[in-house]
Amino acid sequence: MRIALRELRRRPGRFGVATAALAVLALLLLFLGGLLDGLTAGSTGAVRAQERDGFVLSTSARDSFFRSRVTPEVRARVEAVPGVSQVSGFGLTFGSAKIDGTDTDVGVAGYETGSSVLPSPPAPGEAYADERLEQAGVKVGGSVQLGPATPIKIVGFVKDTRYLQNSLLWVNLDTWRSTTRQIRPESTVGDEIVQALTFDVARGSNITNVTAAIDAATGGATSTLSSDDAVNATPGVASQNSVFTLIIVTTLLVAALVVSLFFAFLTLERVPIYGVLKAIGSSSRQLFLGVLVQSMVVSIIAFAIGLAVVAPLAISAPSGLPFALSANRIFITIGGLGSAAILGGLVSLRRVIKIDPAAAIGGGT
Amino acid sequence: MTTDSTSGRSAETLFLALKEMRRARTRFALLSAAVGLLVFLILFQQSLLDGLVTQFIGAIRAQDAQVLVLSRDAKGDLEGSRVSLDDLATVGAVDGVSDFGRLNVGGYTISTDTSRADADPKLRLLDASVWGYDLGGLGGPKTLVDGVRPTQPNEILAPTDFEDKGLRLGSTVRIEPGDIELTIVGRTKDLVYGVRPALFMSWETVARAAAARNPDAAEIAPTAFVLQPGPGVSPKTLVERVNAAVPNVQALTRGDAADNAPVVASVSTTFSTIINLLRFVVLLTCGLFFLILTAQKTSTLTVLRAMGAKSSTLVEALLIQVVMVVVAGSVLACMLQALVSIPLKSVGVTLDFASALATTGVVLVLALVGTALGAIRRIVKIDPVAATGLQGASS
Amino acid sequence: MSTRVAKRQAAPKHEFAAELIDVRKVYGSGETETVALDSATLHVRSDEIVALIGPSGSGKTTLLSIAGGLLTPTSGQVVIGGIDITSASPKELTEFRRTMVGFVFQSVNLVPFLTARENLLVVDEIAGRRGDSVKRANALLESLGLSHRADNQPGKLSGGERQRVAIGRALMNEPTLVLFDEPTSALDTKLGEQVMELIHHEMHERGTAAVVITHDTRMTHYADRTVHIVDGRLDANS
Repeated sequence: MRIALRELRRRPGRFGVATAALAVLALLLLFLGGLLDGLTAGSTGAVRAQERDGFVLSTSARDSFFRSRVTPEVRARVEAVPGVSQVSGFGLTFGSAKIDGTDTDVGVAGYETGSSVLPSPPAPGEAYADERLEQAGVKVGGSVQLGPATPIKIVGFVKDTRYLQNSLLWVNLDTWRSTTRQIRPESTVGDEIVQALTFDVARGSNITNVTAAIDAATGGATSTLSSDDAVNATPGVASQNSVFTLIIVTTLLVAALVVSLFFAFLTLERVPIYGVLKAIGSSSRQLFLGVLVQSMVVSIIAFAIGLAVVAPLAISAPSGLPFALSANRIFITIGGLGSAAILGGLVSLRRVIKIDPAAAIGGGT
Repeated sequence: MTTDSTSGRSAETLFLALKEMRRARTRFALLSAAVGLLVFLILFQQSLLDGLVTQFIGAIRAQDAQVLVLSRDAKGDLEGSRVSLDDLATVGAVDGVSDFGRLNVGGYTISTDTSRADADPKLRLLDASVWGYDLGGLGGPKTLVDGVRPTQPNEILAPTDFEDKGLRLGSTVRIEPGDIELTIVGRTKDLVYGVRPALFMSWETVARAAAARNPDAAEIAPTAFVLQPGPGVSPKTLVERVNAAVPNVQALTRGDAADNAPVVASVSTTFSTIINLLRFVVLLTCGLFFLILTAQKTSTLTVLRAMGAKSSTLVEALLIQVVMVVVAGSVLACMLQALVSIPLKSVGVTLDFASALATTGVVLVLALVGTALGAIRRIVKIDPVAATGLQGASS
Repeated sequence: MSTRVAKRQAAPKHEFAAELIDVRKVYGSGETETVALDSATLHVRSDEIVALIGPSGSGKTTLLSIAGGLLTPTSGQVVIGGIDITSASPKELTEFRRTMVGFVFQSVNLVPFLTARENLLVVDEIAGRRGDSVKRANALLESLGLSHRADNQPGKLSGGERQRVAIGRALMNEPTLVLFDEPTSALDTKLGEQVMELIHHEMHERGTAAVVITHDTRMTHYADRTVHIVDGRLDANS
């Protein structure tokens, strides 16, 4: 194994091109992963920011907030379900506002309960705005007017609260209703009615049982989702996930193939010296471990290069690009590359085992 | 006589190439697999990009005018463009215009499938892009997949693939707010704009819809003018002439109008970067593979050269291998693309043979460049006299 | 039985470093049967240098391989340093080679990217033996006259120096028997003589047995005894 490391140190050039190819692949993996995470975050911020255990929508809505309607009667039934705590109303309407002269997609979200991200609902006519709007030029104390609606005064900013890539103004339910009436009259809801309910699960209960219990209690009028399921049900998220995952997995396979190819050649070249080493008592296991060590080191270096190139993007992505590099994504990527390295190295195992030390004798050249 | 020896040599070269590939079966298989997956990634993402771009500007490409005229301050963005009717005559009078018309593009909420008795309109609300043009004139879709073109103000054209959203041939659609009831009489592919279905209808109908939404509005202004160049005049030429003749406007070819849409530009750049990186990996991988392959058989090659084989023969054998690897990889890529296009059709993934062919060509060139930089140079540098020298006692 | 354990337990040295008794090595069967070694019997005393001479195809390589635990005989008995390896498993043979024998091959010996010293240290790394490796390696290099070249990689060493490093590497695990496969065939006469002189000196100084394959009759006077092999058969003088 130490031989393997020494070869890397003494002959770095021979590993150069393979490392370069892997570095580009590592870069792609991090970039694509960051895009996926950025897109998902921008689509699901509103759901996650509320930090609730579950969401209750009407069954006919088919998991869409916009199509959902929850009446006070249904709400009462939900609140009565054992294991349910802190039921709150929620509603979401999309519109458009002129920010700094530019038409911007802005929505309004009505809520009742705050979280670690969202303060308690502001006074009527006021809103906490997603920080993207601050970047677009909105200031605390200023106001945002959606279409012909009454302007809403901004009293603060909150992070990561967007929905379907739209920035949201977080308001109390009454403000949400009145704004909706003005910009989307066809979507108006009566007082007391909301699009969805959010809730927490009381200590000792589990979310799966509670969601089933809620739907049973409302006689099937509601379709209840855990927070994770609500995130996944967000339009586009599931399909984005599968598309990106397909690309990422394929890219990892390419990395494994590049490693396998490169080390297949290397191993072939080393057959004579491996023969000598086996003759003086080295086991196949020791030799193969050396191969694995080298493939891992090469992958790690390639990853470091890829990370270095992507890092500037992570720090300051151009405003149009949904990009977010999380520690989780970094770990997944390095794990994937490491696995690809091992998989690629395995291709050489058979040849290493087959090397006959007896061939070292009389083997000329 | 010469023909015989040439074909004899070609057969020999092919024989050399194939023999080696059989000997190094695993390695060639691994390389073909790597190239195949890389080509697949390129095809897949190209397809995604095309699907995505179509979602944003499909309607622009679908309509029949080859030149669009937007307001200059719109900076190529159709949504933000408003041209003045006063300019219509001037634009139409520019030399080379064989037909011209006006276009209004706006976003509306519609309720769909209101012809079905059991349908609850509230549940069938849809965001749509509404395109108004002069029926029978310029600005409508080039072709139809089914149905007929509208002749009445209450007849409209809709995109295919939206059946589940209620847009079917013969079904009724209502623009909200108001009582404007419309019937879909014809449909065509990719009639989408800004990720919303684009409905094409008469200018008068759009004017009514705008008035219903905002009674105080004056007459609606066109979003853009549409022009058709006459015989012998290219769209580009017409674009230049219009830009020179009329201030305040910006003429664009249909293709440019599509490509310049703001989201399209940034999405295209992102994908292009990724695809170029993938191409670079192809170059590196093929280049490295064939370089090492060549380096490891240098002694064999040297002996062959000493025996009288020409450098060009050895290079030819190498090139045959490169071509075979790329072709094998591309076949694999097409199979994979066809496979994933089944579940992912909704995202726009399809196997487009023209695109596959083009990508194969590019990849082949890259593989050849990589090989030229490494392996071919090495072959050419071989000096046959080295075959006679004793190898220095190695270590 | 673990050869390492056996070595430590064996207090006095055995009279014979190597005993090959009636060893046969046959390849193939029926029509294609090749007899590489035919009833070869060879006894090598514990401090003896035996030169093994024969034309190519005579079976000398097979004999060396069997003595070194690289090949298993078809029949007969192989006892090295008192340890019977006739029916040892490949794993046991690997361990045997780690501890009991050393090899000097004809051409490829050294790892190209390791220094002379590191090529010796590799032996201990393979055996998992820690402790005084560096000291022993330095001592070996010094007695071989290579102290000043210890940090050079093989590419920077002359042919003769490389061969000396190979000899040092073969002695690193303090073997009972060192096997040389044509150690001087790639060297000119003068260098070849120097290497043979060195082999003679180092083997005798350590009391290590050696079998040296050579086809060069000029070198045989450095050995204590010469054995001829033709068509798989040894001459009577074994």
